[in-house]
Amino acid sequence: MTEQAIEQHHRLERDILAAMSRPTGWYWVALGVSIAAFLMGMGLWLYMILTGMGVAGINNPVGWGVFIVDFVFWVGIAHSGTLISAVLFLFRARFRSRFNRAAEAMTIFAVMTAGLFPLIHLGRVWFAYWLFPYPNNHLIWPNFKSPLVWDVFAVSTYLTVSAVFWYVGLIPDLAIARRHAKNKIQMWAYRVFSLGWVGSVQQWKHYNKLYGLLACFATPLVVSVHSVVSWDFAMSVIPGWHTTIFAPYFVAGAILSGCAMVITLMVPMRKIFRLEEIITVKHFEGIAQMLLLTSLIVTYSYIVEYAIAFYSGNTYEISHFVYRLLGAEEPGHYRYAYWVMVACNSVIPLLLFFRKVRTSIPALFVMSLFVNVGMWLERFIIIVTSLARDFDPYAWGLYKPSFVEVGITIGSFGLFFTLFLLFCKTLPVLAITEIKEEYT
Amino acid sequence: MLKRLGAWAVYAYFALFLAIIVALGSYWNYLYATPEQPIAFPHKTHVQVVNLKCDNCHLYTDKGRQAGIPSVQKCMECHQAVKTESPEIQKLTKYWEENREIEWAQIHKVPEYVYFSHKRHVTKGIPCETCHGQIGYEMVVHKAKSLSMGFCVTCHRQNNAPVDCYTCHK
Amino acid sequence: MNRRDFLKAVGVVSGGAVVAGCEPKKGTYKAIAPLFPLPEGRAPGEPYYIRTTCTECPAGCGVTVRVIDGVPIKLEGTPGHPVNDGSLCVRGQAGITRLYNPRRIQKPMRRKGADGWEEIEWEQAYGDIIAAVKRSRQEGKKNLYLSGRTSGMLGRLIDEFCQKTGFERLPEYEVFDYATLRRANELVFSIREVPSYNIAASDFLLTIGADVLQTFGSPVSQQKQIARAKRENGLKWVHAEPHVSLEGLQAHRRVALKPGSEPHLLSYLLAAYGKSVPGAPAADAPSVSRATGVSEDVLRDLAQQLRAAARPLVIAGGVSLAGENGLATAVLCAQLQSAGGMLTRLDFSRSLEMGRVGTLKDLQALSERLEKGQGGVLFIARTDPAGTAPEAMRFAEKMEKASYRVAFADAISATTEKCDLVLPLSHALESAGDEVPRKGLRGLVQPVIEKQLHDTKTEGDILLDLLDEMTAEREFRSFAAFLKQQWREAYGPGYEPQFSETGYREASAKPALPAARPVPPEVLKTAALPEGPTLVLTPSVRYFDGRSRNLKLLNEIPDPLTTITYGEWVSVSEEDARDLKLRDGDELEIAADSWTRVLPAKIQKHLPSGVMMVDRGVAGACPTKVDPATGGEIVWLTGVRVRRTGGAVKLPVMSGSPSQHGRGIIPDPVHLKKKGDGHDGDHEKGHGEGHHNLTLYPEQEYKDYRWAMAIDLDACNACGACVAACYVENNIGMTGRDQHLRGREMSWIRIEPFYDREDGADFLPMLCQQCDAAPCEAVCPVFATYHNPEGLNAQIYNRCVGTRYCANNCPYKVRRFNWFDYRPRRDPQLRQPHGDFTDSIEMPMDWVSNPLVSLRKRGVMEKCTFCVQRIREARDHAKDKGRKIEEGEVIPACAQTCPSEAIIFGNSLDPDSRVAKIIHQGTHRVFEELGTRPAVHYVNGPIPDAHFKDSERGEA
Repeated sequence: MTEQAIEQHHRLERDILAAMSRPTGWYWVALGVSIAAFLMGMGLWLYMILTGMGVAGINNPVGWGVFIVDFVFWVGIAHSGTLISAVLFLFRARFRSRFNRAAEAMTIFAVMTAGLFPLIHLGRVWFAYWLFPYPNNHLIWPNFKSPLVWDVFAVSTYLTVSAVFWYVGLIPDLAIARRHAKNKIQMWAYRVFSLGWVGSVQQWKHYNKLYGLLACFATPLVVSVHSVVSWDFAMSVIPGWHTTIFAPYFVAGAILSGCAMVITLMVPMRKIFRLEEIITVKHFEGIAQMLLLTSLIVTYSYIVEYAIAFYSGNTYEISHFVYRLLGAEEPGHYRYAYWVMVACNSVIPLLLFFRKVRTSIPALFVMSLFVNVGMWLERFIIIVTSLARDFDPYAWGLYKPSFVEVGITIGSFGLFFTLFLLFCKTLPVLAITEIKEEYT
Repeated sequence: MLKRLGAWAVYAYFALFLAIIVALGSYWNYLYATPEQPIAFPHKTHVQVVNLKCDNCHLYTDKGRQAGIPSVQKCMECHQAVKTESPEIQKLTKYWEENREIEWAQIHKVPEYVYFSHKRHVTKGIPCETCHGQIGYEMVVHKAKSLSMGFCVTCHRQNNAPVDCYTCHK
Repeated sequence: MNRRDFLKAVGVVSGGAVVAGCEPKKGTYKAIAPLFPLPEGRAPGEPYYIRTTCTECPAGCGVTVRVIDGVPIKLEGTPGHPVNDGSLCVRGQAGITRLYNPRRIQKPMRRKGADGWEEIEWEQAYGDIIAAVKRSRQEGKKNLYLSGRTSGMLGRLIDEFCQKTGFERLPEYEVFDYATLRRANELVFSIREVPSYNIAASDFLLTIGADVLQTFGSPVSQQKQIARAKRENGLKWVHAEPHVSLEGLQAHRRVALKPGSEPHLLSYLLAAYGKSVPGAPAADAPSVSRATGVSEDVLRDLAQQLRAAARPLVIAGGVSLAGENGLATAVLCAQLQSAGGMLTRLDFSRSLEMGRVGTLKDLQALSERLEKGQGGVLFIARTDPAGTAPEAMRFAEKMEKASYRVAFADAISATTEKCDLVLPLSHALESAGDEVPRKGLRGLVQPVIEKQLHDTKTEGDILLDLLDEMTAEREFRSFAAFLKQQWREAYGPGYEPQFSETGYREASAKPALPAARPVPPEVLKTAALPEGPTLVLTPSVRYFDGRSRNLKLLNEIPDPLTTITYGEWVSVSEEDARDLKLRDGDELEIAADSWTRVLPAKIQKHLPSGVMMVDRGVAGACPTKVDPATGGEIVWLTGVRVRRTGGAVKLPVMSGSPSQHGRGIIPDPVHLKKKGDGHDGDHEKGHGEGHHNLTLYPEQEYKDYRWAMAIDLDACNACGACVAACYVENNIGMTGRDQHLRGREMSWIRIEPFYDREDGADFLPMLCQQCDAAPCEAVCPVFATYHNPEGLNAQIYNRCVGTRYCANNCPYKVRRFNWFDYRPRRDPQLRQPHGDFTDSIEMPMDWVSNPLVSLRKRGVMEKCTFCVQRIREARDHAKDKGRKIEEGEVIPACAQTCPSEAIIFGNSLDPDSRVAKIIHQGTHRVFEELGTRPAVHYVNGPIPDAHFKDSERGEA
């Protein structure tokens, strides 16, 4: 290894680990706000548990509202993590190394947030454990026919695997961090968690084997988890839910939202931690291309949805999709939400065909925000409008989120950002060792 | 250093759990303490000594869902004369004279959402002891069987009794 | 610390974790030992039945009260009763909630200060009254006794009281006093009465404005008769009306008239019989058509049908007799009845018992006397003139001129507000008495609840006490004793067993044919209604004349036409709405001379333009006029001024859409024929293997029972009785206005109106369809809902964790979620005597709870179970007898009460069961194309062997 290569390695380590230096005031502010939001959300949840689901806006016929929307949204966010790290790892996509660490962290935090919502939306959360198969004195098992039970397994598996995958990837970097530790506690912590990594050839051999295996193991999950989530809807009979394209449609959507979220997080991080020359525009362009691709797939699914509805000749489907697009004469319907969604997810991303846009960080950042909104709305439309107008016209009804639902949603963002901020200051935000390899 | 720290952590962890267990234990005792009855009624004396059958006093075991607590009058039929000197019986007579109903603390209770018919079980010839234990030998009534869902379902399964949820859940 | 210690510790921990168990402390529940053993044949917690009579309206239906441990929990019609034969209407079903109504007055109340009240003891109350009587005697004022319709022996006691204490008994005041109809019958038949109409015997029924399903005459009896006549005589029913009503939409054909044009129609029909009445309006088709707005073809067709019918019947009543031309209409109708040979179906020997019910003229006279200050002590019993009398009469102010006012009432009303003393009356279920609904029929009223809820008395007992105090003579220990003596006089000794067994006593009466005689032409003078918007007060199926307004349950149940639950509204025609640019809920200011009222508008299809409707029950005192000819009330407010205030309120409209959007929810004849042709084996069994029902899942297999239901949409009148019955039977929470606005009603069965037909509407009772392939079952993660071996979609409340997936996935949207704790619970805060309804259930409403059905907690899903508790009860009986459950032993609450026997329930595996037969005929199932295979079958009548008596359960 040449002098300047080593020199460069040291610079890399310094630059990246610089992120973990003593935080500035703004960091504390951000953290404070996030934690406050999170606590507010929890408070509202407690209030809801004590008074009843009625404090949320849901009603007959719209039995699922913002809570399930958030659940699907966060699971979606969770996707890109594994995709970027595992799939792109297998495809040896170069730009991956700049994002995988943060993306995986994002995945785990998002899954954790998502996992809360099925609990929050339960009428009697104190019996949530009945959804798990455990020997009990009622002598009953959960109903394995029910997609909700599949969810339990899908999400928990996903959380476990991505957590393990993330941690394994971290080990060598932890060792480096240990080398740069500033005080005893850091020293101790990094030592414990780096499992005595010394970077011997032996260790690298095992490490690479394990990492590769885990990648292979994680890849199918990218598809499976969100497919299972989509079945929550596809398995039902409700027009707008009961359709065969849901699994791929949801997976594509998930990746789209995931990539968007990665951009949303990485752009400020890159700026704040001055990682410009490590994470270059080229890398962002890579993500942007994925964004464009998935956006096109999602747009395609939107069209197919209508195609299926009309081709089926099914009265309920047709009238429902017409309703989605046009709403009804009385106020308070959801057509605007649908139009905004199409704008955010299908139209705006088309700009990425222009290299200029693809390579402008601010543009990407703004666009990512739009996509995040769009994807949230997509779930809202799928879940709420389908329920608002199903078979029996007498039972039609509208739904308006209540302050509790809004508050808990904000709270979920609070939780997510709290965890992410803590991550930034405690662990290497980029995969140092991998980037090193590229420089040699 | 790691060793010591780790050990401490582990011990603390288990200490916590031990604390919880102790707490639960005391809660448990509180929960299942035999409650104070308004009158210390000895089933044993009535069954073993006087040789009363259950349905001599619990009149409705084969007539309805509830077995029926004997009316104060029923008690007085005998206790006008019998054992009038005992303080407990005097309590009883007091109730009778003041036309007050006795509020026994209920030991065997199924939840509000459960439908249970004594008639159905008694007419099938299921002995009282199956659910009430050796109540005839007890000076103080206590809950011998869990009467939990598992308890019922197991027995129903063994005797090919219906196990459709609607059999018991209303 | 080494591995072993670790494992040990782990062992201990997991051991401890198992301990966690939580249930209420042992012995916290109390088992009460009663003082005395129960009477023979009763067991604790086992229901028993007591006969009595419904006092919600003058119809006096026979009621069998289901009582458990001395607490009445459900009212059901008495099978075989001459009036209602097993059925009750929506008000009758809700009657039990009047007993537990939180708005009941619970103690005598004395006015304190301007608008304050103080609770006092009875003795004080009596003292005050006696003092007041003395004073008014000194002042030489007349003491007056005004009461609502009084029938039975109470009347005699009041007479006795009045003549012993020098009170003057005034003609009784009743909002629905049939003044015009009675006057007309007096003129034509010289009988001033309302006959009972023998619809059952007729094959063609023409009702003109008469709300025979809601308040007119004896609604339950009429509904039953119509349904049975449809089945047996193939009755065709035509309803002519100047507005739109449930009758119009339910009749086979609706004829829309111009308001006040009824006489023209009638004289046309009379002419069809070759009879012309001097003074009657012109009878030639063109002018009649012009006057009524009915096309000549329709007129001709109508006349032709009437003539063709073997046993036709024409009934005029309701709003048609409450207009300027009311008397003319009534008289001509009477003439037509005699001309058409319908008199055999007018039974004056069984005519409604109107007691001493006077007319508004009498009330007018009273208010004038009060005006002059002649009134001394004024008793007002069981009636609310201040709240219901024509607003122009200003009765409320005038009654204040009486020197002392005493109200006998069960709840606060406009009248009691104006009184110095309010004496709380016991509910019928707490009191002894009798009720004479019609001539020759006496219904028994006996106390059912073991001990009174509040410190109340029956009117009879109060009068006896007063007699005792005032004349110091006491013949009778109690009113009950008085009654016994009277009855013995009436029926001789030994009447008692039969009386209390059946709950009624009927004297055999021989119908005397009335003879029609010509009437002076001047009574037939008709005046065309002035142009411009008209407001009409319509009788209320839920609130009768407003007396039931304060029953929360009746507010919880939607109005059949508009599906509005709580609150007030004015129905506006589509045209007017277009002209005024109205949306549902926009506020209208309606003004007639001095009177104005702001009401939210509801657009009502089929309502003729220019006509607006306000439900009588919510209208209160309106500027109605008194018909000088008859003393009847004129409920047509002509020339009212209407303008938009610009404000708008949210109306609790339960229906999401007035149209079924061509989704085939309502079976049309074509649809039925297609299904009937037997091409798909669907109807051979309760569940189909039709080609459109191919499935990968195994068929449901049933051993002994598959519970199924058939509903005859032709018979169903959308009266809502089933809904009320369901609420009471199944402890369904009443959620209140606010929750209804959020779409959180809890009704397990609902009646869906669809206004798709040009000339009317279709109504469909929707309840859990108990599907064979139920979408709800597969998705429940914890088996809280599952398919039970007898075909029910069981819902185990205490297993439910509240994912609400089942409700989402239910195509019929019949599952209800407990958003809050709607369980009956004690809440002293909510016990104000009146005021708006709060959202939680108020004490002592928590008494109305069926112990055989569990109370659902917050956060669980609930739904119709086909009254599984009744199935369980029937099975219990059957097992005692060692046999299977037999046909007719299980009858869900909805089917039990249905006045037109439109709901048939049974075991579809039993080929002889009625339901199986009907299914075999070919039926319609809602959304069958989804492959849900519902067990609820809809047919458009007629149903084979419709007559079937209630099971033994009734007589138990």
